[in-house]
Amino acid sequence: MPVRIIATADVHLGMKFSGYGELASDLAEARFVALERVVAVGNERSCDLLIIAGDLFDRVSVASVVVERAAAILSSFEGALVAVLPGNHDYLSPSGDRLWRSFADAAGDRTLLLDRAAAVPLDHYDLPVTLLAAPCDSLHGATHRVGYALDTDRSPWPDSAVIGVAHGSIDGITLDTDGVYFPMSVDLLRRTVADCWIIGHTHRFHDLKDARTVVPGTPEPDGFDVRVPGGAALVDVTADGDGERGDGGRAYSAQMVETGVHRFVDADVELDSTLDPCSQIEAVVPGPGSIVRVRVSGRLDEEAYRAWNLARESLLADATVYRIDDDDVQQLLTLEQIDRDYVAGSFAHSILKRLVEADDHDAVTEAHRLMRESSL
Amino acid sequence: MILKRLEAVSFAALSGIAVDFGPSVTVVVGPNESGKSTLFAALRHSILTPTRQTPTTYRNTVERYAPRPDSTSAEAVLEFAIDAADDRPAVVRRRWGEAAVDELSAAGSVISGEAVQERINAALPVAPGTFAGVFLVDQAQLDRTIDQFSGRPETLEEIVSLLRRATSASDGVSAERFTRALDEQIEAVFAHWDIERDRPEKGRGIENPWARGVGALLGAYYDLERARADLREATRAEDELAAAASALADAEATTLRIESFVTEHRSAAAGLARSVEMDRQIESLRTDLESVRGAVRRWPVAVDELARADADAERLGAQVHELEVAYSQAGAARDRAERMQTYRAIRAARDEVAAAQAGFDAVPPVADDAVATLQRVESQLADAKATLTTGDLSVTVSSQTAGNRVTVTTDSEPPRELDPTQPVSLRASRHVQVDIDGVSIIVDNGARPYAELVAEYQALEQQLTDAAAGYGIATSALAAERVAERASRDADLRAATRRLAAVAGEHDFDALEAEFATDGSADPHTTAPASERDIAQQLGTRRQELGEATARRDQLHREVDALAQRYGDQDALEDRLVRLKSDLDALKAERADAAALPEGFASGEEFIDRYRTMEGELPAARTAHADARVRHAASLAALGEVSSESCRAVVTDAQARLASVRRRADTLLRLRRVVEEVRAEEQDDPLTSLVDLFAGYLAELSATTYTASWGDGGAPVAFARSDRPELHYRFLSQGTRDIVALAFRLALAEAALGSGVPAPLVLDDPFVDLDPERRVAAAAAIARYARTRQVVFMTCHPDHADLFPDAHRAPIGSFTR
Repeated sequence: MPVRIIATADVHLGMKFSGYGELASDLAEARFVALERVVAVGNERSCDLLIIAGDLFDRVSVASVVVERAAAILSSFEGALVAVLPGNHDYLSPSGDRLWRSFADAAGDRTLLLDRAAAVPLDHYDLPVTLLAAPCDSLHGATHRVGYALDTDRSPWPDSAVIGVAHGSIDGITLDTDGVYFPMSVDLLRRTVADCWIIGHTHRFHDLKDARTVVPGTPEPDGFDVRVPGGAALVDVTADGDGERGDGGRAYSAQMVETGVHRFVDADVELDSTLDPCSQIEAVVPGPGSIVRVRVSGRLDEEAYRAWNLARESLLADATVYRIDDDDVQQLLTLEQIDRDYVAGSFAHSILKRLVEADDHDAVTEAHRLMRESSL
Repeated sequence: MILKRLEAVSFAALSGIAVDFGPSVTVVVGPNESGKSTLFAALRHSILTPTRQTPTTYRNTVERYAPRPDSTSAEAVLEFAIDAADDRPAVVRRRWGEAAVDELSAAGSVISGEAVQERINAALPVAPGTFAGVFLVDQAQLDRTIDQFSGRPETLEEIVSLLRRATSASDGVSAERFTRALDEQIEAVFAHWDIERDRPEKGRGIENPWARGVGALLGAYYDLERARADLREATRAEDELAAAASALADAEATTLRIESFVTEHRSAAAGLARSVEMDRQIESLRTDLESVRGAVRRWPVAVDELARADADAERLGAQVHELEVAYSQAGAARDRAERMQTYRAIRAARDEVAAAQAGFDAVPPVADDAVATLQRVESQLADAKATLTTGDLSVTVSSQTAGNRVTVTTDSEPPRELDPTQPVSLRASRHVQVDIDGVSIIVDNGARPYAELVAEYQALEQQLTDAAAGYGIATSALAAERVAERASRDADLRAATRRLAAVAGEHDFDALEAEFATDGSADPHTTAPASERDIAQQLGTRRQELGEATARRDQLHREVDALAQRYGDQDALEDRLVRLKSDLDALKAERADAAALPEGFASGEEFIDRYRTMEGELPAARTAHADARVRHAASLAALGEVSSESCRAVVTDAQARLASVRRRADTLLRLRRVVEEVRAEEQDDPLTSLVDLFAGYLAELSATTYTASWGDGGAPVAFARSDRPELHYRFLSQGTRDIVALAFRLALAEAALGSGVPAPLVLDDPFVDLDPERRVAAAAAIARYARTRQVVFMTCHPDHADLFPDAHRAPIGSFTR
């Protein structure tokens, strides 16, 4: 019997965007919207199971309203079950804690907290699925929690798909220089008995067929280090499909569906004096909802430089871009221009000529601006 | 200031007359006595003379312009604009003298009093004094221009300063304003930043931040520091929480492990406790049994060994005693032999002393002074003899007469007779006497008579003979020999005496003599030293053997006594052995039925120890678990709302912002350095531009190239044409002086107006001493000057006025032609 799963992770509800000024509340709210979109996609695509592979919450101390709102959104899932795995940000406290107790209280009967590293048959929910859960029990961990899945005997569930759910870094996929995020390797995952793994922590979608692993990524990007659209993974596990097969002979297929509200974009633009500066910047803005940080460079003649300054104010005022770094935009001034535009021997002429000869265009730009501001 | 209109309300003969001024050249033309000079004065006082005056000041300035001799005041109204764009001119009404009025109305408001002059001064490009000197040039002043400015260096300095600023700001960029704006930017960036140390002023970081006037650099720095502090705090809180969680997990696991162990092994522990006790008893019985068995075997052996040890000790004791007696006897013999050797040595030494004494006594003594006295007399005698024999005489005796009896005597030989026929040569030391027939010829080479010396010699011989007889010894040499001999004998005697003392030492010679004198030749009975050593060696060996035998005997005594004390007698020991065997068998049987040992333990004792340790640790583990739970809850509560990951992003952002501000800050400082360099260079030669301006006007006015030499006062003082020698200003022709003066005025005025503030240049008939050609050139230069500036040209010569065909004309009076 085939199973369809909508999988996500790293929702980080309750995240504060303290460095984003006025955007902060919008960005925080967008994470709830993205979760709603995940649920909506799951409903539209008639998914049996919604899996959240860790970090539903940004930290173990999120406000109770965040927990209640998350539970409410998840309760709107129309499939058989929502399975929630604690990740390294919302890890399980060794003695149980307020976060997951209050979540369990708020969530309905069709929400299952995967709070033990163990096989969890879902026949109770009429699902031909056994989950191999590997929850995190701390913010950091030098060893993964999926080891038990190497020796698990799957014979008790001959008719079930065995789906692993874990949270942590994957060698070659996730940046984990110090190896402190429960690191796993492709080889390890391949050697387990699971038909397919859903693994959170990495914020971009990956389908690692060699490891029979789907990394759903985050439904909503959370910063400029995630410059891809947010999304969820739609996973089908079948007994007769194509693709990698686990010990149980089942195959899976996965695809990403976009759920993100915002996109974070880092762009570099070298301005061309002959073109409209606003158009040049707008060209790198993917569309509405984009949060664009643009690094602008170029040497512009006086007119273009003046136009750029006006454009800059305009782009920031109407929030076309989030931030502009134009330290490298300089006003181009040649000795011929200086001789043409300034009286030889005048103060302005002497200053500008000296700076241009020293090839100090930052100072040329600064001096020229000050001259305009302080002219008689 | 741009003049618009001047009305002489009541000002000398001009009362009621008004003059309008154009924006460029205004020619005020009128015949002599028409009032041009009065107009000049009205203009000058309207601009520069406040009406609040003392009577004396009034008398010295404006009183002469009262319209009539009985008038007590003079009045004028001046209209002027600030600049060309000012379309609402200010109106100044001034009445000097009685009922003084000083009033300025502009833009609908009226001010009066001292503020009026302040407002007027503000409309001038230079200080009022400079303005009067440069811009208001009456006819008489023109000629004195050079002298006037040579004596007023402060005016020139102001003009030069204005000129410099004018040149510098010719692009509309004022160096002062630019520098000020730049400094404001630098202040805005660097406020409260210690540039030299590249840190906040006074090291005030975010723990004690500057609250006001924080510059961009410090602001960015604070932002970064705060972001870093937030990151540190978030990381710390997260680490603390992680540590607390880990500690809680450990505590929980420990408690669980201990509880499981205790629960699982509680019953086994109770059973095994008895088994362990039985094991201990069995082991004790076994030990006792082994001990008793050993005693049973040992006791009879020990008794037998003790008997043998007693016998050995006794035998060895007897041997030791015998050896001790033998050793004592050998020692006494050795002592007697030694005493006899001593006796013999003393006796020999005493004999030596006696012999030495006899030898000493055999040499008679010599008087103490004998040697010295004899030596002295012998020395004197030798000296006398030397005196007698010292000399070298050679006498040849020959006689021509054969019959003469010739006798010669020398100091070395007695008188002898010579054959007078045979000449003879005589040699003597100092005295030759030749007697020839009763005639004595004495040849003597000394100061003293030879006979006296001989007598002295003989006396000394007698003295020596007497002394020898007195001392009983012939010569000093013999005396010395005897003294030496006696000293030698005395030394021998002393040496023998010392040897005797050394040999005799503390020995009692009389006792030794009594012991050995009668039997001195008989050797006493002695034992060879070697025999004594042998006895001593044997004695040592025996004593050691005796000690060992005695120790062995004592040890066996103790062993046998201990056995007796512990076990009574050997029969009782046998009974005890039987009893122990029986007890051990019974205990082994009971132990075989006891509880089984859990796996993993080598012995029941090890298990019981472990169980009791775990049981003891359980309360502490439970307490630690509860504490860890509390600490974890506290760490959780202390966790901030922002994760370290978010903080890290903020730090990165703040770092980028600080780098950007630093880049701009560096740019501003570089720019400031360049500004300082440019301004320093400008100030190096402030007069250059004024010189250039003056040269330009002079060339234009004279149509000839003059070169000027500038005096120390900052004004040109000497001029030279290419075809003539250089002349001082005062030696130039009147016309040339006027040309030079006019050129200098125009240069100064242009320089003064360089600041951008306009002012009228008022010239009173400057062309009167110029030839027509120069007039045309001068008019052209003035017209060029006036293209962007205001000039009031006063003249009483219509042809001069005609040189300005485009000028605004303001006629006063009328010409009769």
